Amino acid sequence: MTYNQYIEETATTILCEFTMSSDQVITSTTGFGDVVNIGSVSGSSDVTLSSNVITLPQGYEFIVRFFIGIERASTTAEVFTKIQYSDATEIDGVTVSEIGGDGNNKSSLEDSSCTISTPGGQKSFHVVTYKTTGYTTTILSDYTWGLIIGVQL
Amino acid sequence: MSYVPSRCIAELNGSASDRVLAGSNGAGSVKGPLNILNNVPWLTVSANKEDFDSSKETVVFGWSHGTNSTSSDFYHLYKIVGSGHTSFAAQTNGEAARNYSKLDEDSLAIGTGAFSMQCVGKYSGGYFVDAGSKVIVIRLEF
Repeated sequence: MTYNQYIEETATTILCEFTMSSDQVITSTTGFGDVVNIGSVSGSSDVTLSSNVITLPQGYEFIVRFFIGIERASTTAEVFTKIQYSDATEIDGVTVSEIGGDGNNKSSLEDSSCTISTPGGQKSFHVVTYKTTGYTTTILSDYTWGLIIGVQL
Repeated sequence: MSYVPSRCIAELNGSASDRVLAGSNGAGSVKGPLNILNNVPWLTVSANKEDFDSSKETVVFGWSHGTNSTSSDFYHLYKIVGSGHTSFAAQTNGEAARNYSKLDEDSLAIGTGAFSMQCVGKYSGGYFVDAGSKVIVIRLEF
């Protein structure tokens, strides 16, 4: 046990994963109108989940990565996904996953990634997505996965 | 007792303004300019944003987002290269129907000292480390 853990009873590092509990059909065809359904967060109990919003505790810097896999009726349906603060504000430096191109109707895994620091208080995020055409497009829970790594500040 | 900075994570991002042309077919490396989002004292960068130097042992991972203005197929094979690093290469592909490549390939390196993100092989041309590219550096050593 480190000194910080001893005096504060907090973890110096955090490792969590978050997953979907079932497949999800994307309905939004405009800018990131659908929130991805997160079924569970496992790992550190310092990270919590409520109504698809994941909350990170104060006093850490985090790496968050979200990998998405889809199945679609047509490759003309492109899918964009990103991690976003739960109040819909942008996370500085976040990357947007882009599933486009032609080929078969199942994408490879794509990810949205960012770093989040919480020196002044906890922060909450969710994952948002949309497709570019009306073709049926489904997020596959078996191929979708999130990772959270936290280091105490 | 000296002060030990507590930040352990650095984030390096590609941008549309700093992207570089990978060049034509074949081998030959091109270094990718990356912008540090959060400065940390254990990682320095050259003026052209291409060369990084870590004073601590680190895990480095990240990917390039390639784009192509000609709507033709291309791929970029890239690698985090450093004299003190053990690393693995990654590849991103752009398909004919889109001008944007996939983002799902990570290059991974572990080591100390100088490193850079390099496009070490390519088919066709296109831009290397465009916006959407990211490299994350995690300090292991205190």
